[in-house]
Amino acid sequence: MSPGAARRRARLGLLVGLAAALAPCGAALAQAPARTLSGLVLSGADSTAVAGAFVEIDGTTLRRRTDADGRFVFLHVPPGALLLRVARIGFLPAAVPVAADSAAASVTVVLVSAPIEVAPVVVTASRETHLAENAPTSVAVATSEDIEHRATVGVDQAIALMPGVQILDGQINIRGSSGYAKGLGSRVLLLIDGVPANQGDRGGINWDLLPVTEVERVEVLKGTGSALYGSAALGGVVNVITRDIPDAPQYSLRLFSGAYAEPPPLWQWRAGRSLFSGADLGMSRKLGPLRLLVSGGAVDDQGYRENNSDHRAHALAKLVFEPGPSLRAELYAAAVHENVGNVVFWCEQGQCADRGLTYQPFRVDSTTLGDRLLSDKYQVQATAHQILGPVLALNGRVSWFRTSFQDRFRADSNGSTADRFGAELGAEWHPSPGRTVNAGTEETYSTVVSDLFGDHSQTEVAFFAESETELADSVRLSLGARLDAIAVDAVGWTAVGSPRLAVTWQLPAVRLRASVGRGFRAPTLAERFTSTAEQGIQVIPNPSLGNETSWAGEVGATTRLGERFELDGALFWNEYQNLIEPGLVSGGTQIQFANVTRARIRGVDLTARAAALAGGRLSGELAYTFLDARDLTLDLPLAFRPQHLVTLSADWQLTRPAARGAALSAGFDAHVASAPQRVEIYESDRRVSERTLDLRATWDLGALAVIAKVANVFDYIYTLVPRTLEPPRTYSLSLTATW
Amino acid sequence: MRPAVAAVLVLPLVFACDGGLKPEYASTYCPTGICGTIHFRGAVPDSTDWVRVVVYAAIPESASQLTSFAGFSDVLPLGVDSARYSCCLLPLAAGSYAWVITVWKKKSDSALTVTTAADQLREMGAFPNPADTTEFGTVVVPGGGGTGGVDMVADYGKMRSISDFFPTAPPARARRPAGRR
Repeated sequence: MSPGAARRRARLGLLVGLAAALAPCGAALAQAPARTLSGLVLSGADSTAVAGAFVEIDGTTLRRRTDADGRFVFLHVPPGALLLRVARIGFLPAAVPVAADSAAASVTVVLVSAPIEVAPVVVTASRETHLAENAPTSVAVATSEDIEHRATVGVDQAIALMPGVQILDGQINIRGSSGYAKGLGSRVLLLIDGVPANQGDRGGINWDLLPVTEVERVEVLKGTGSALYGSAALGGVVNVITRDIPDAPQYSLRLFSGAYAEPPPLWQWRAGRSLFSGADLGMSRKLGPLRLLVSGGAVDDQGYRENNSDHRAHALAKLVFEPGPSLRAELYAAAVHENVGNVVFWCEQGQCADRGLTYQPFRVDSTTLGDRLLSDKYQVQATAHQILGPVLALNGRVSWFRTSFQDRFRADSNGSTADRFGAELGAEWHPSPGRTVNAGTEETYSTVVSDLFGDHSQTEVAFFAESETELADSVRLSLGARLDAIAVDAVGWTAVGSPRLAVTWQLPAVRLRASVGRGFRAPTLAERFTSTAEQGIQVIPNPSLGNETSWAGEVGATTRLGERFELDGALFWNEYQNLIEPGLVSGGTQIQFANVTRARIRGVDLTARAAALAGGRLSGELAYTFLDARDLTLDLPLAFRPQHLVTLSADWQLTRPAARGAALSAGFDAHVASAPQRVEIYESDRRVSERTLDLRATWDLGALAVIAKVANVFDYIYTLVPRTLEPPRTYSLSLTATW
Repeated sequence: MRPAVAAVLVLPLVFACDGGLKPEYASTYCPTGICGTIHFRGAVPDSTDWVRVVVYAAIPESASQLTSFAGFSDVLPLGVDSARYSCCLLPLAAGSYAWVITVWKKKSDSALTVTTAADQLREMGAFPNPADTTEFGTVVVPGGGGTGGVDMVADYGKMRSISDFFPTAPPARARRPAGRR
């Protein structure tokens, strides 16, 4: 069979499968009479309206957020008794029975305050908005409040403080899934509002595409997500959910500025401190069924290292079309231009004005001074969610993501432009009470024109389906699978199946979860086709590179100890096959990517949260991850994985907002990661652990907040990647205003 | 303050107890005088007062010439595997230096003088001739600069009295003792 015929047959099969999955929907729709349910959500503490609460009619497609007045309306409400679930951060989740027998019913839900603030819903664990307590796999969440208090410039800085996560020079590592390959071939999938956004050529992640001011929350799925999301989700998923647009016109402004501490005298590379500053301005308004958000900003950073100044400008627009409760369509567009100094490794003795030192970590090789990297990124995506009835909803999206870079190096200059086109059509179906089916098809077409990777394309066609069934009041079982078919340059189709089985069990005091699934990652175009010379050694392509695969399992439990403490623990075990690593070939004269490594990563994730300590003013979180990451081919530790990861955060409310009209709070974030047991480059270099402490204070005046922060307070000089310095002590002051 | 609160506030300080990366001089770095690294062997005797590098233009021929050194370094750290030194405390003149040694001094109630030097001082190791490591090496210090890489092994277990190197004392002068090469 010709490749073209195979592709047509695969597409036909997917369409038939999708049609079969959706076939009963028409009948379900026809049965749904037009009934409405409206309601009001109030705070039990002071009877004020709770805006932004998640409201869901259990077992249906019907879910909403309350408006600014705490109100919600559902159309197409099915007959009979209903269970209304309501959740909002800062409150205990509520389940309210509603006997909605009349044509229109109204209900008032009163929420009880919860000291422990846990994000109430997650979307990444099962591709639909889900109460967090029912998520079958471990998910860590950072809310917009977390991000704002931490005054991070980029989303990656906020993610780096999440439990079990490490960012290695921009490359994310969740529970040890990824090592370090200069951002090439990420084993973590980035989603923006559920839409994949990894680079089309290198598979890496551009964190600067996401202005932190427009982020509502970040969800990190800690474990393979291939059964739902396919390739690149082998080691986890990061889903960045952008903030919703309020009814009232809103303007936002963020200004920040700061300075890096001067290096020790022997390492100084410039007179005085390096500075950075930036601004973001946003506005949003509602025009009938349309809501529009526009924001833009710029960052100017002199850099804490030589030749690392960064000039960046970004813009974002989001348009939401919501003519009624049944349809929501979004158009999201973002663009970033960056001009950054290129730093590969720091200066070793003899490569710069070394002052007689063995290395100058703040300097670079003098022959690379002036090397710049220019890049542009554009992301456009359109999504639609149509509720066809209480038991059926359709989701669709199309997206385009372009990354383009141009080196301006003294030695040589290379450029690359990659486009990633994506489309998806899916359905959420509730065929019977207590059962939910999510199914759909996804297609991705990536193409690259590059001096380094050549001119190539990759096509991925997938079909996925997952069924979640409530076996009893307390047990939920999910069973799903995804079939991916991949072709490179439109030939050589290969298929990969990724099944997943997951169960959650709510016991009186403990919520248990367990899952096992298969993951995979297709090689990126860059891994297959890179052809260049790196430090005098030729890198040669390997077009026959195969997929990485894994079996991954997890058992976890969450329990609350009274109102003020929550414990969560998980044991995970991942077996990887055919991991792609660069290796020396042709007698050590050339480098080539190859499927060489069998690996096992297993470990423990423990998180303890406490709230309302010290008279209700202190809250904190302590998390520990133990990793046993082993290369079974070499019988050595996997490179670039720390064995121990610890994060500790605390927030102290110094004043009570109600008493003074302004709130003053202070907090800290501590992050410790043991030094990697093995690295693949410069193995003889000294390795140190990561030990940073960030202090912050927030003065919150309601519409205005001022945040002072000192990151890496002890000016701990360290590396996560050999010869690549992490930031020293950094002072910053941020001002955010919303009106 | 409650214990839980105190624990949360103290914990971050624990995280900071590690030095991280520090500047390290390259072994060949030497802006002035003579510089290098001493690689220590053996256990430090309890009677140790100090250890320094001492530089002579020529090997002294008698106890009275022991104080005719060209210069000496700061006190070196004890109980370490290796230590970098730069010599000397006072600027070292340009020229040739035939005997660069690591000197150990015994604790003593008596002051260090010409008469007590032979008793209180020991040679722990010397810079060897790179071409023939059985011989002492000569270090040339250029005008306005320094000479780095003057490395040597210093063994607490094989220390010799300074007077052993005088011409009248065996073994033959200008030969390094065996076992420290």
